[in-house]
Amino acid sequence: MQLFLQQAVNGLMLGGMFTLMSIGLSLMFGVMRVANFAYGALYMLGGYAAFWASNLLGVPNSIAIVVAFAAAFLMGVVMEQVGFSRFRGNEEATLIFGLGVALIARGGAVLAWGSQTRFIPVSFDTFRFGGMVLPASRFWAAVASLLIVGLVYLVVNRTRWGRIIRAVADNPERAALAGFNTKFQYLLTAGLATGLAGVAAVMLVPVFSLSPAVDDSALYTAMTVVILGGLGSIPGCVVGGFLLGIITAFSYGYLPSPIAPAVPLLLLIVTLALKPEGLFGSKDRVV
Amino acid sequence: MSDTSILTLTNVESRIAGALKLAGISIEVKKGELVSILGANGAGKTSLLGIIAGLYKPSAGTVRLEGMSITGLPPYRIARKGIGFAPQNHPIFNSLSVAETLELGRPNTQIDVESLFPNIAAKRHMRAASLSGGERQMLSMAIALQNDPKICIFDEPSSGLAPKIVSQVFEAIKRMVEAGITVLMVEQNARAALRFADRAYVMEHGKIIASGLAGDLANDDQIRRAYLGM
Repeated sequence: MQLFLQQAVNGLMLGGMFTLMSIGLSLMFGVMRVANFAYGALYMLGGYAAFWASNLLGVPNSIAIVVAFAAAFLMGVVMEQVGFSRFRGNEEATLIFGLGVALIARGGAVLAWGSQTRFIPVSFDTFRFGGMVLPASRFWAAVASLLIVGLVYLVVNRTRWGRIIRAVADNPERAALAGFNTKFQYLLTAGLATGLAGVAAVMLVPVFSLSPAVDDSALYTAMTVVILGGLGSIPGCVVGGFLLGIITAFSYGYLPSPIAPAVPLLLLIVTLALKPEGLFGSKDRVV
Repeated sequence: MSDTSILTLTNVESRIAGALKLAGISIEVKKGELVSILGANGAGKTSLLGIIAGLYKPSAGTVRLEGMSITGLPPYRIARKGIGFAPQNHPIFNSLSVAETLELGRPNTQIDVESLFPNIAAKRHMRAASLSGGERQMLSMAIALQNDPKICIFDEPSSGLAPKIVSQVFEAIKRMVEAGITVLMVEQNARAALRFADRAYVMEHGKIIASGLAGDLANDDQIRRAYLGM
């Protein structure tokens, strides 16, 4: 019972972090119908920005977040301007462009910072209650993740800009005829979405770790979450994040370690087979 | 109605793959007027509205709004300059609620949109996707009315609607004009269009073949035979 409760709490914390890791990818697909395969690379670059800021420059996390957001925002804007806007509607070209950027980013990261794994020093404090142990760094990362995801939800659903980007996502031509500059809205959305990957990196790299290869695991995690929850759906992303977090935690808690990593993938395959649009996706947004 | 020109098209021409689709189109809409463009399917009416709204670029000619050229500008800039457009088949934003759609732009100061379209005002909290065809048309027209446009353009507002809804839509257009809003409307329902319009243009094969006061056109034997089925 103790192990069950501990893994449930671990799963909830992991779920919050997975949600944050995926929210930008979900937003980008929801508004722009772009599956950004460079998303993991942007997360990785945001992580290095955080590493620089905290380890080398000694700045507080609040500044590191701004630096990582700005760096990833700029990358997203450049990618939209140079690639995604030209390939809109051409899914193959979009996919290849994203993969190409990811390869360049990973190669560049190896050249710039080497391939070794880096760690950002974190507090080893723990919270204890009812016999359970909660590492403070994971707990605060999960709380911050939920706050950020909640803020994104409010911006998208409760602000005028949120209404505009949803209108643009819904019907770009109609939105343009109503006076909205769709190109500018796409740029802003791409910047915000990739900026969130940078913010996620600042919050999560201290918990996980950082190396140029982290882009793959970040992309797979984010893709799994948004496919589970439904492409482009923010509530779906939250549900998908927690589902993946809880299943991952229980798999590692109860199954032999060679089998545990396969369980989330199995969940993904079952979802694709039974409900390809995801839990909260609509039929016209099939993966 | 005044003599001030709101929208002026001069010798607008459009070619697609070298073939002439619109030839020498010249149209004027004055402040406060309701002007109709009539014509059979394929006459080029919707293409012409697409050029005015910036969806297509003309191969020749100019489009002016209050004397300023808007020829070839992107649609969002043309909309911001003061053209409210409700396209054919009433496209709206399905994922937004009716209230969110009504709050996308500034409310119209010449007419209260919610009293103009009580059907959609009563469904403020519903998803736009759940609206009927007639309600979608009304919501599309409400979008066109946002931000106090200098002219509203409606493409086939009665298309695909039940007769009862068609009369509500035309009644709403009449009230807009009474409130001083300038309207250009493309319509296949020539009888209704000529009843409500001040003036009309008749298009055939990409050309204007007749124009004048709506009452005069309604009494023209050739127009009556070709478009009114008399």
